[in-house]
Amino acid sequence: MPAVLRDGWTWAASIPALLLILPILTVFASLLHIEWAVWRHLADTVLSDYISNTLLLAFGVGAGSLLIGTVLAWCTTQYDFPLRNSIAWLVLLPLAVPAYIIAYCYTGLLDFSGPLQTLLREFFGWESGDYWFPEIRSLGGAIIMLSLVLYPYVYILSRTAFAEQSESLLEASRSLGRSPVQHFFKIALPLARPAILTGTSLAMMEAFADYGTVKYFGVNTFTTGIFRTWYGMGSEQAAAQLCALLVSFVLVLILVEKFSRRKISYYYQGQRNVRPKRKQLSRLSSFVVTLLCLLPFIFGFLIPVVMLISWAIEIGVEQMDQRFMHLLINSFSLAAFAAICVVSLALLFSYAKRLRKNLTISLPIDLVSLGYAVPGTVIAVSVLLTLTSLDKKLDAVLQDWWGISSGLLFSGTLFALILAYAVRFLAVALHNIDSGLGRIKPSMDQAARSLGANRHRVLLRVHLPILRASVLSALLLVFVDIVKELPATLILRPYNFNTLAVRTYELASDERLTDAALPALAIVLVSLLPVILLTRAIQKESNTGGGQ
Amino acid sequence: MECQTMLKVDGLSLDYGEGSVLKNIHIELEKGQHACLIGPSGSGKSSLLRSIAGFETPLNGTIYLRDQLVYSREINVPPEERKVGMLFQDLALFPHLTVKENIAFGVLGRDKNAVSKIVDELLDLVGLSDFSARYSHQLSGGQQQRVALARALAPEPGLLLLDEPFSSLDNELRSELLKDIYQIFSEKEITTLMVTHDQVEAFSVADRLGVLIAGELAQWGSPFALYNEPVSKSVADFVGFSSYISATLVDSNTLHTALGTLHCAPVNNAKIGDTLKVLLRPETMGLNDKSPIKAKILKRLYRGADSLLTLSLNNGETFYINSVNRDDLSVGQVVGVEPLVKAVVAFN
Repeated sequence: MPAVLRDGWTWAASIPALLLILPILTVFASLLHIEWAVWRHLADTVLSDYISNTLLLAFGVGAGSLLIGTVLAWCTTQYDFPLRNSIAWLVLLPLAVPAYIIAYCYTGLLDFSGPLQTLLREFFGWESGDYWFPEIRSLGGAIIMLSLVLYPYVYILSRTAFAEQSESLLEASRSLGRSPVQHFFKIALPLARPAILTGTSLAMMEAFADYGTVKYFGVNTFTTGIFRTWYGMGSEQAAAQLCALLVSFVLVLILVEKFSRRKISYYYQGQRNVRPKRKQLSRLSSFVVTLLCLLPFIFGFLIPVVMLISWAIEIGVEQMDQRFMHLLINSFSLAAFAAICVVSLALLFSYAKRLRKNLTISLPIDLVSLGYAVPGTVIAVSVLLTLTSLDKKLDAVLQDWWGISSGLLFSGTLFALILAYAVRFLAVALHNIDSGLGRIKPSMDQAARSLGANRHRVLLRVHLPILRASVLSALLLVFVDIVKELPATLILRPYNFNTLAVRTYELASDERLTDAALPALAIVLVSLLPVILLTRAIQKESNTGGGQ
Repeated sequence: MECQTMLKVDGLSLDYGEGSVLKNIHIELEKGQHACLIGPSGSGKSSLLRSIAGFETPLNGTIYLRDQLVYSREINVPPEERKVGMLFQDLALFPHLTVKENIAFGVLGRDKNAVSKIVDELLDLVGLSDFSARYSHQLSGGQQQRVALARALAPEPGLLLLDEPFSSLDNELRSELLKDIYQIFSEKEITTLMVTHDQVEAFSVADRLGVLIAGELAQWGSPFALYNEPVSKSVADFVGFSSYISATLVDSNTLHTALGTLHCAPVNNAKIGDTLKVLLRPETMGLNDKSPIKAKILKRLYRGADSLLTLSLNNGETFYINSVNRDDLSVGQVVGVEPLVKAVVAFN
């Protein structure tokens, strides 16, 4: 038996990792049995819609996020203008608003009976049908909604990319006879391209994963199609196959992202970090730039949140009843418990990688950490498929041998939900723990041991204090992601089990937007926590950097 | 061939708003000359270079390049129009461009073939012909320096500014590279101005050497003058090893010291009878057992080829001597010393 297989860490890490990969493998395995009848029906009816809408949505959101994110990043790193420091973190706040919630807000605002159209009618004396008004519940509307909350991915990454370009690169360009504008197009932009692409592909992954917005707007995409095929047509196989198709789109994005990230590390090797000096703008242009940079914050955060607050006030405090409290407790305890599970797994994986540098451990872990790119709908369907077949087999075995029925032991329970969260959010936790553990150099262990500390003491006195911040931020990030997560929870929740996200979705689907405001507001408030952490980091960066 | 003034800096002052960085600088460089700027860190060396390149906006003064005014109160030619090459401390190679593309970046207004010919020649010149398709992260430190050099030379600048570009290399590689590239500068008649903190480097390549101290150009002259005839104590202290003994001025160019009577050039603002300080370089003094002047060895620093001795005279004054290694020298011993030069430099 090879040494690797006799090692406890290898088993302890690779078995759970393989278990987490299993659901996705099940989805791809479904491609082996194609239900032609269902596919013919899909192809005749909605498949081309699914494909074109999904791709249009993803690319539209990619383009929108790229535009907003890059312009913001360039302005806040290169120019000095009023409110620049505040804008640098204000524009991150839309990250706290889930796309489906911003969609509800703008629907309420822009609908025929919404305040804006009512105001227009009263002001101009129009009647219904007298005027044209853009329809928010459309593909275009969905693209705008998603772009408004996803551009921060591009902004964060390209901001760092622009800020880390040494001032000497600009000087080199100019000493070689190029103007600042030529420098932007020939050097600054191409250098930031990998970072911009990485951010854009993250935004596009989220667009692929979106269910709440497109469902509410009635746009047929893969995610809504998977739901319909599963529940409406009752074809589990075909739903799984749609999942597989969607995942293959996402795989392309993963490749783009990984490739770009590698390029970033090459591009910024060995540069002396002389931060670019921010240029002064004339009075008029600094006013314009300030206004321009405030727009994403206004549309992506301020307006929807004001809308939610006004709805919440409208329905009053009586909504904050026992039922709402119950909802809060339900949501938060589920998220907390799942977050602890996910972070524990991440700790296990991260330590295993650190202690045993072999492929048997790192390969399955790397595969699992691709789960962040897989849409929640897909993960839910794959978890459900896997667990149902497991349940059926277990039941059959028990019936055969002992004549008892186990029923749906896994698939109808919280276990399924937590497994799905683990698949989707492990990467978030792992990223934090890995970087925390990376700060503990092997020489620190050796130093502690040489100073007479045993293994336990090293863990307690060296590792724990250094890791604590990473563990806490991993817990927080996963917790919030779970609170926000809609489609997986919707599919996998046990009967009669409600969370904030699901309740918001249900109320909005019933056209009870005002009633949905309170749970929606709760989600946004909780989601603000990690964003505040992020803004602190960025603010620190922008205070220390910049003109000397 | 007519001698052309390549660079003329007149009365240049620079201020970042937190006190002045450069004060009233005058520099002149003729075509083909190689100059170096040395000075303590923070003395404004890089700022001067960057003002000439156009990356800083001076407060006062004028800058002429090839007799053309590029900076004054009224005129500020942008860096890209000054035709001044620059080698940066961090090299500032464009990481997303290949070696070839980096070098071609500054060659403007030529057709493709001409550009490619220029690039190939430069690659050949710096010995990197086989690396033209590589990216900078695929090159060693020395190779990166060569690419940066070729890139700076590609637009054929008359004046090349070097901002400590070799500080990241180890000594051996650095002196080798330095020899190679100054060879190239001489062949191509390129005027250079280099900032460095390595005095050996500066002395080995410079025709003109400047010492900047606290934003002022304390001295600008030949390397010989700078070392042997420093104009001030601060220049003398900054360049090489220095020690001082006191002296009395007996007439305009004669000094009485504990080492006997020495001659010096006339000293500014000094009257007969004043007590002055005489600069002693370690190599201007020698050991001689027959000499009536005795000194005690306080310290001995063994340096391989020779030793640096710290000696103390009867009156307590100390100075350094470079001495060949002798077995019979030990700390505490009294030896005879004598000045090896007839003329010395004295300061107020």
